[in-house]
Amino acid sequence: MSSTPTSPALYLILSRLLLAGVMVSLALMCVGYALLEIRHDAGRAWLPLGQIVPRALAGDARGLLDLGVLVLLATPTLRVAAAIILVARERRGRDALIEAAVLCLLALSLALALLRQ
Amino acid sequence: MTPDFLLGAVAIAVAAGLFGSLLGLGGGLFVVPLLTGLLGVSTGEAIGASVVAVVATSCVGGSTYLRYRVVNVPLGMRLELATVCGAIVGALLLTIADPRLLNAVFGLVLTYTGVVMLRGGGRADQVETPSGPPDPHDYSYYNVRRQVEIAYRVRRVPAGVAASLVGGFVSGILGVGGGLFNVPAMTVLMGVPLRVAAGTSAFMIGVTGTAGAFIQYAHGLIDARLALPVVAGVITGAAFGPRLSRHVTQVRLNQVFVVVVFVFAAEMLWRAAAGAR
Repeated sequence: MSSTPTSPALYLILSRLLLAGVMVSLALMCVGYALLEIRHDAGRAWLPLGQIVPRALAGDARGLLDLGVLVLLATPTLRVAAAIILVARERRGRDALIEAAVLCLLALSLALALLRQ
Repeated sequence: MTPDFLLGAVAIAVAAGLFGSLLGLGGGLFVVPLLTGLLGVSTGEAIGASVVAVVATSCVGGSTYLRYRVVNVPLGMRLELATVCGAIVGALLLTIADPRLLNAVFGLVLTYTGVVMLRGGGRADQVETPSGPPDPHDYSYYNVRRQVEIAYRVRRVPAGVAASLVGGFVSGILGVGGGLFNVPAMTVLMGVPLRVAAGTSAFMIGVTGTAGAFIQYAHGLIDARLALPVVAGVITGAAFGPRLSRHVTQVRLNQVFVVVVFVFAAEMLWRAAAGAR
């Protein structure tokens, strides 16, 4: 384990990133839910992963709701990606490699999810 | 979704976020039984909501613990590699593993963990103070309640990594956060103070949850309509868990954790006996 002390900046950046991801996710879900209620739209029960972003960009309520969920699920992944950059800048190569391996495993999980669709 | 249902889901999520972030568990353990038992949500949808709750609790709780600097980031990175591996293997074995055997094994492991934590409860405020020459495994955190910097030495890292692998596996196969194994692994095996263990677990479990969540979403198990009140409630609860943790003694925190461990050990053993997943 690295004896190099972790910089306060790393803690602060990761902390803000996690909070920002949850807030963006909540905002998207609120807008999507409000649109569903205004339009009295029951909406499709579930959207395939590939359709979420195009539907959300088109202002579709269900797309915005599901994009909110997707942003929430992507937030820890973004945190891992940010950690790779931050620890690499602190010249902690082993920690960067470990986080890169975690990111690869998360990508594998996403690939498995896409394959199962 | 009726207003009563929405309020009920938010209230359940607030409690899940509060206790989940306080104990580093994620809150998923509380969401499934409460949503199914009190609001009549199907088990599949409740598990989907549980995954969302785990990720949201981890993001909000982990964010606050990071700000308070009670997360051991280097240790968390090593353990999350193990938990993610375990979670993926667990998710892949979900269809072929015998749930009765798994529940029985995990129930017994949790019972043993609870007994060890109960016996060590009186020493929960004491950690191994580093002595001798500086060691790469020496860390410290600031205890706000006692207003003192507490130094500790992380020991038996390989054993902790192995336990986290099991925690991840449980997370993948049972749809829970894995904190129930991670926190005791850090405190009992590795000598990490419970407060830091809870913070580090909160930081990690979002990644573990995400590994399984994409697959859950692909199966249509995550209902975004149900996710909204769950996320809103969890954000509220998880914002207070780490704050509460700063003012609770480690002995009290240990007592609450032991109760939760025994309750879920009993549930797993009951499931094993009843043949339920």
